[in-house]
Amino acid sequence: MTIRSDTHQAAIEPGVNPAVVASLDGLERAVIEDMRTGVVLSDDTGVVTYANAESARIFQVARDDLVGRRIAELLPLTLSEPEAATDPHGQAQATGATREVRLKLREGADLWVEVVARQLSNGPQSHVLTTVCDITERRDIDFALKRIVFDQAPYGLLLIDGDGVIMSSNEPLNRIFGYQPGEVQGKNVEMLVPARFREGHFAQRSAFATSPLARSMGKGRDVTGRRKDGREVPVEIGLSPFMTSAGRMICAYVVDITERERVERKLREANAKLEEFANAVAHDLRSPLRGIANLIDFIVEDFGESAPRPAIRNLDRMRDRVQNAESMIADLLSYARANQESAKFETIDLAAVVEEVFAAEPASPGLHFETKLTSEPFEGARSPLWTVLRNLVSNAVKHHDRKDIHVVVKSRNQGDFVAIDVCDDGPGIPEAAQSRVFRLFQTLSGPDKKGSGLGLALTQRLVSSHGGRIELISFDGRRGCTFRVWWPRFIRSDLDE
Amino acid sequence: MNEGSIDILVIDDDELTSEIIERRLKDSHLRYRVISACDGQDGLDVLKGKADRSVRSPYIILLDLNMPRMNGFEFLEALRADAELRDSVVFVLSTSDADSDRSRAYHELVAGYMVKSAIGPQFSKLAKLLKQYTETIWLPN
Repeated sequence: MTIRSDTHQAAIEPGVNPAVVASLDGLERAVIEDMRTGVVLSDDTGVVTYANAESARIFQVARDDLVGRRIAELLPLTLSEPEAATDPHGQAQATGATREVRLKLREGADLWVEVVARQLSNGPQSHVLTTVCDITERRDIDFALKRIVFDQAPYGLLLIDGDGVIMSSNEPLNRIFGYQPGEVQGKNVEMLVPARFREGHFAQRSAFATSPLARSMGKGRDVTGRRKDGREVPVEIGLSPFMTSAGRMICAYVVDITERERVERKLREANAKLEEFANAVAHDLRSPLRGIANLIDFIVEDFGESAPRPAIRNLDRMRDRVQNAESMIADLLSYARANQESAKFETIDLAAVVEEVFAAEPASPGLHFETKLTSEPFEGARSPLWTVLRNLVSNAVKHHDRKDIHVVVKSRNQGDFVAIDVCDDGPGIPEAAQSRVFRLFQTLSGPDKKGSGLGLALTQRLVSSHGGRIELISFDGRRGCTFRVWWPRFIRSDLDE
Repeated sequence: MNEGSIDILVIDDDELTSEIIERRLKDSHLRYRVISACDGQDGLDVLKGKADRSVRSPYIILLDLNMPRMNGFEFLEALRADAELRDSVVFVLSTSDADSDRSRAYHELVAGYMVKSAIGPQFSKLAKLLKQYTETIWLPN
């Protein structure tokens, strides 16, 4: 005969006479017998009347011995104590709800089973159909997942039930708040909240329970937790609600941001100081210098014609020095303010940038520029790169000791960077002096060369703050030097945004 | 236009500023009188006739920003709050080239913002501007 699906349905759906199972013939019966789900029928006194092969395997009891046993003995953990007292036959379980039950077995490891019991009330006698499914393997995976994802997470994790009771916490969480393992379990989560926030926290938690979407806590404001010793610790908290058979739960992700806050505060203070310093330099040093320049002009204006020659010459020298000091201040300010404005990102065509840089250098008969560019266009901040190349090229020209000057700019792709060489045929930089060329106020040329000695320091700062690096290649006894800039061909969020 | 003489009140803790302006303006055919004040408070006193110097309308104020006692911004606030003085024409003349200072000054309705290092040797551009301005613009009485 063929299996009719409605017959198969009838065996496990409520509302059908259970006698049909016993009366099933041949193949239909074989299907139920062979199911990978344990099927157990019990009568209205809770005594097993039928059990299939899988149920015998799960309970580790011979099939014949199963019949006649009490279902409540086989599945002892499905009822709480008071319930069991009023319902000795275990009929109250027969609600159709799914439960996960741990079976204590005489031999071997315990099993986890999923149990569904349903009343079959249609017939002359009331029967209960119980299906039992072995889910040990799934529970093992769940357990391993819990261990990996929860216990071994690098940040603090907290499981809270709908009433705010802490169900579980992992080791990093205990460490953040200074508790021993298991110490916070069963306590109210408000114990981790500073007293002054508790009331608000309770209200928010209650509101969150009704509109449960994952979100971060206290976005945009300082969130702190209360440690066991009463001190507060700045934290970042994310909340994820989820449903379980035991009701709504909330998983809280807690990250200790003490170190980050500390560094950020230091950085803010340092920046504020630098700005203050830069402004002081800008005003307090510039004004007296301007004053001196003006007074020199007064003298020249008042005595210009009649003043002795040496006096005029010395006044000119004073004027030069004032001018030098002023340009030094301007450079220092641009060094301090470097990168304060946010850079614009665009596709950089190096050939165009280099052409602009060459054009910025005042033309002179002996000046020769050349390019050997093999790199491809890349995304990045154009204006700092322009400034870097401009500084290097103008440096090469400024410090050259001959009339005939050659400057070559080369480029090639090098992994994630583009390597840009600015080569000159000038006097070169002695190896002994190479370590100090990038330092503030270091100038290697004689007094006749103009320059505050800030160009290379500023250049290096610009390069490194954009994630690149710069090196000097020059050898004693050989003319010429090369500055090699490694400029990133990628945009990195922490450097460029 | 502005008949007779025009007063220029220079409020700056560096007395050289008024001296330079006086030197630049002395060859002009219009008669300028340069009066100096050493900070915002002194400037207010001069304007209110509480000092040994005084200004007469029409006048123009050249104002430095960084000054002891009362700085340029505090002076501007006091000036704009004073019913008698609020319509004074003020040019800022500062060493500061910071964007924040510039926008704050314009917020206080100054007629112009000048950076000392950018108005030519010996304030030549400022002198030229002052001459053209006072020859072209009708100042409040």
